[in-house]
Amino acid sequence: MFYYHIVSDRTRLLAWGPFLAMVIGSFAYWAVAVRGVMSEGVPSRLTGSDSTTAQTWMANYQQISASGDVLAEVSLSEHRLPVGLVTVTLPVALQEWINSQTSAIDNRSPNFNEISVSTLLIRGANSVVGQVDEFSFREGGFSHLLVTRFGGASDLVYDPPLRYPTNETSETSWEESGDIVGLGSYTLRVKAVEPTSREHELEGQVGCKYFEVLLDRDFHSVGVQTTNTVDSYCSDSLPVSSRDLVSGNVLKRLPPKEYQRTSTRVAATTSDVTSLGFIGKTVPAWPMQVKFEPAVDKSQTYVFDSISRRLVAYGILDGLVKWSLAISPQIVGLCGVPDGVVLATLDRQVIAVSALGELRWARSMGDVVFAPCGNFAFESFSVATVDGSITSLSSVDGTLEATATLGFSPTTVVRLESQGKWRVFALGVGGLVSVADDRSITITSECPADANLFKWSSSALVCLKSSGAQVFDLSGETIERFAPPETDLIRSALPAQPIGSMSVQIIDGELCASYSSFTQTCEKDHAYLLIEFRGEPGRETQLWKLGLGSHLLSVGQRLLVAVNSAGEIWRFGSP
Amino acid sequence: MNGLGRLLNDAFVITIRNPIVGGFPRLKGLATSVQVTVVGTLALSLFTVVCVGLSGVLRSASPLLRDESLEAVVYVPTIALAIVPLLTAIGLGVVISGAIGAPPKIAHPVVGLYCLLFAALARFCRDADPSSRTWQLVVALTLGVLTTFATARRLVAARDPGRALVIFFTLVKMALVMRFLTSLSSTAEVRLDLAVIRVILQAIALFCLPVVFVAGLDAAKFSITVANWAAERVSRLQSRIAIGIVPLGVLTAGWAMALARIATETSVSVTSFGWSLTAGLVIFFVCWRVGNAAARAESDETVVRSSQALAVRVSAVVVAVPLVIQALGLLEIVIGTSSYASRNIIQPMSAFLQRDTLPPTVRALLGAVLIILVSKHSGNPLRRCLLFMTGGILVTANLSELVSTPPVKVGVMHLDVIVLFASTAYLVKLLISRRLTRQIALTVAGLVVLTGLAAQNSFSSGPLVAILPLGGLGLLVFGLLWGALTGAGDANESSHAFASSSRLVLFAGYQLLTIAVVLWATLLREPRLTDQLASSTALGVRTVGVGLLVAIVIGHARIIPKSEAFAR
Repeated sequence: MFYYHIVSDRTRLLAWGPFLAMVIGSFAYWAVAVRGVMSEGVPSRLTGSDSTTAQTWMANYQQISASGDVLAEVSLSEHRLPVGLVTVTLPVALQEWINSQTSAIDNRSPNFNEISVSTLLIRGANSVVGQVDEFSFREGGFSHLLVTRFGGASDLVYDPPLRYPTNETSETSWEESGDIVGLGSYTLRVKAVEPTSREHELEGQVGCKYFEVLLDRDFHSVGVQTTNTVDSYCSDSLPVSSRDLVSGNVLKRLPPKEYQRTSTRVAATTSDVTSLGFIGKTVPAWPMQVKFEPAVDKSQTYVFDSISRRLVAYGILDGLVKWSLAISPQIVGLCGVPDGVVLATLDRQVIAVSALGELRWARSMGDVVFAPCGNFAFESFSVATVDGSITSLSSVDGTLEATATLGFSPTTVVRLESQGKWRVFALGVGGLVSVADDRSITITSECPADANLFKWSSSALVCLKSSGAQVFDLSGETIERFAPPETDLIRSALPAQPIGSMSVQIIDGELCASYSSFTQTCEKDHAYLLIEFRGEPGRETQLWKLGLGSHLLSVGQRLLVAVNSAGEIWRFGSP
Repeated sequence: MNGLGRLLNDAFVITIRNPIVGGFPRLKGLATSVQVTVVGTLALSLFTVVCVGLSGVLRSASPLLRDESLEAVVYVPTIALAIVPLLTAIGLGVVISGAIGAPPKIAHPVVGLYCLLFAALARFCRDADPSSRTWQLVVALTLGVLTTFATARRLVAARDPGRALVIFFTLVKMALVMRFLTSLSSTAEVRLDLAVIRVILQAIALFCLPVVFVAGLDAAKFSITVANWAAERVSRLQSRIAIGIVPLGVLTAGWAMALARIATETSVSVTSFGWSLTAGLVIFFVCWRVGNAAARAESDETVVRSSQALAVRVSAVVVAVPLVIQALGLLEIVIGTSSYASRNIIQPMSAFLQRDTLPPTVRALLGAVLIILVSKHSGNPLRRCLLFMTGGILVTANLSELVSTPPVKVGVMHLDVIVLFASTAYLVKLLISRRLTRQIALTVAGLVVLTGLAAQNSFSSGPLVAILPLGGLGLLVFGLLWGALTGAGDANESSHAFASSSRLVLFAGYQLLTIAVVLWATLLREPRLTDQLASSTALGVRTVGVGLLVAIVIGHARIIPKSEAFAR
């Protein structure tokens, strides 16, 4: 009887076997694989772990004197990166010194692998007048400042590193001295102080500790320079909350709302571009890896270096680095606006940075922005997101101007803008959908999902189908139809981008050789910039030799840049 | 119960309850292990459908990863990377455990593809870290060998412990491979687990295309059932006022909607519309002749069952070329892309199969075979009509694709126009000859309602498209859901060679696998994969779905002369 029960139960258990296998297997899967997937996050080599949130990666400040005068406008940003990625921006001697310092820490703190980079941009009326980068690491509740760089050239190397307090510091006072390598020596005195009314100057910060910091730097060349600050270290994750009271002057964080629109629309003239000339080539300031198309505004180009995760602004005419900022969120693309750049991030944000490196605004989107989204002539710009929405925003203050839900993820998005009006066209499985600045949405079945859509000029768009081509104007009306074989001419212009009445594209050496007039000059492994008159291939065609490998092209209103993956930039413009 | 209540109850019974009662997996009499496997898998499928509906919320709540390993850059929510491989592994395990009991012609390809998938995964792991000898990889490979052995030894695996082991091993193998790849990702610049799972799910998506194709028919079946019910209600109207007004109203509304659609269609290409209408007319006329002997009672249930069986066979051929390409791709991964066999055998074969003209040629040939079958075989007239219409649509669409211009695609809209024109002409003729009766007028109006409703967007875009933010996948999701609830018709059958226990497990596993792929597509919002899935569903609607509609329309139309005789 007992045997019967066992056999019966065993049979019953076996009958549930496949189902139990599913359940137990799922638990096993969860334990082995899913926890790993969820915990690994993004590769540490690329990102490191950021303690700052995406919203506070960067902030604008004013330095205000005791009498209330604004002494300076500054932007601060900070993030943490693995040592190797941070030091890539530095000269070899500095890299070696930082590596020697950090390798010593490895023995004491096995989990140590990151360095904090904070950047201070000091803005003048029309340009950035100074940049200070500080490289430090955290250990034992202290922030150890390794290097201070002024303008990317003049370096102060502290040996041993300056031991600054943090909000986790338990000591109340200390005094240390050391060398400023090759330049002189320093003495640092730190003492905890009681909070005063300045606490109210940094709104929203709680749990702060205050330290008076007296730093004497004795330079061989100019003698002793003393800096006296009262630093606040709060649990708030603002990038830099320290050194907020410098010699009696308060550093005050500016809310984004203080940035107001100055004009509703700034339209650039584009139709008069009838020739393009080579301006110059820029060699990167440090070994870079450029993955995203650069952005171009009226006078600068912006490149994002994926290694050091720095946004670098170059002057188009002189090719010089104007400033560079460490960016905390992962970038997926850049968009040029008339006076700055908009960054699309992996955490579904768009962040506007002005031409002077100040944070204008940050806005959360429904999903990741399709990037690159191009360079815009107006202060209004449009982005399409992966969730199938098109959104138009003001680049000045991030105001929502128009939005539309397509119901599908678009494969191609083109924006036309002319004489103060714009319309965004999106092509996807739903066919062609357009959204105008008056928020009207139009759907046309004339351009099917399998067509090619591309910008022909600032006010015309071409839908290229197997049965022919159609040209749409800014109002979304069909202005011309082409049937084969006329479409072959249009097809040949497909990869090129319009700039005024010109057409530009990057071609490889083989394609270059197919142009009979260039056969003698084309090298197989090189890339070339081909400039032609739009729709008139061969007429006054120009060819510029770029570097080896693949290049990215960014076309502005009167300027364009080509950049290779190593960060070398070729600059072109209309006279 | 008031009139509206009765109407709604009738609608519910006819359009929802009856199809589910008739098409839900019949589990009575089956072993407990089969019952719990089928019910568990279908429940998981329904849960996955809910996840698909909530994909927007799930995506926005999850951190994103950027993957540019394939041609298109995608942003993958980490939750997709966590859930979808798990669901896929369960689906694969259930499919393989169902395939064990199937006849060799079904079991061998399924088992072969299963082994190929895991062999490709193992190869990916080896390529990712050639020096690796980690325990995960060793255990996964060992389990792979054991699974293959258990599957090959059908006598062992056909029993419950064997099935359970196959499912369990599949899950553990997938877990180990994912863990291995994830651990490598922390030191590499790309997320290897993400890149590999994208490739594998792309392959699985192609293997699921037959289910996706049939889901199109399932969605069409629902639309046709609803339209059919509405048509029946119109035909049975008793109110004297309605009898006068309804046919006139239906015809007017029908023409208004048809003309609006014609205007939209002809704005794109008048020639294409003209050719499509002409081709539709010819095929419809032949169908009418073929279905001439049909009796009313045959029209619905028999034809629906036939269409389901036909859809499975047609889908196997329609997606045959991409399936073979994918299988070759996996084989190439397994033996190495630079090996002699890859370079000299597999790659030339893939290149041949990837020619644009090959799939249309294969499909046109399939259509021709279906037409020949109609002329060679006598049988149920409406089943022959279904075969002829489906064959005709395949031939016209694919031949026109081969010659590029003009595209001829006979669709439900053309059918609506033909039925409208024929109905109007018939009614006018009867009116002139003073033979028009109320019964005839209402029956014809019902027919117009049937095609008119079926031609609405709901038929081609899916009833849930407005509710779910899925774009083109709305039709597919609805088709899969409806298919899971009502599509077990053939799977409920049983034979000595292929028992219903195996059929139902296979059916449930394939449903889960396919819905898992749809969940992946919706969470990733990858347009190419979405388009691939949605277009296969639309193909199912356009071919067998329209064929089914035509067969039902002709079945209904045949009773008009009888009602005329009755009226006399």
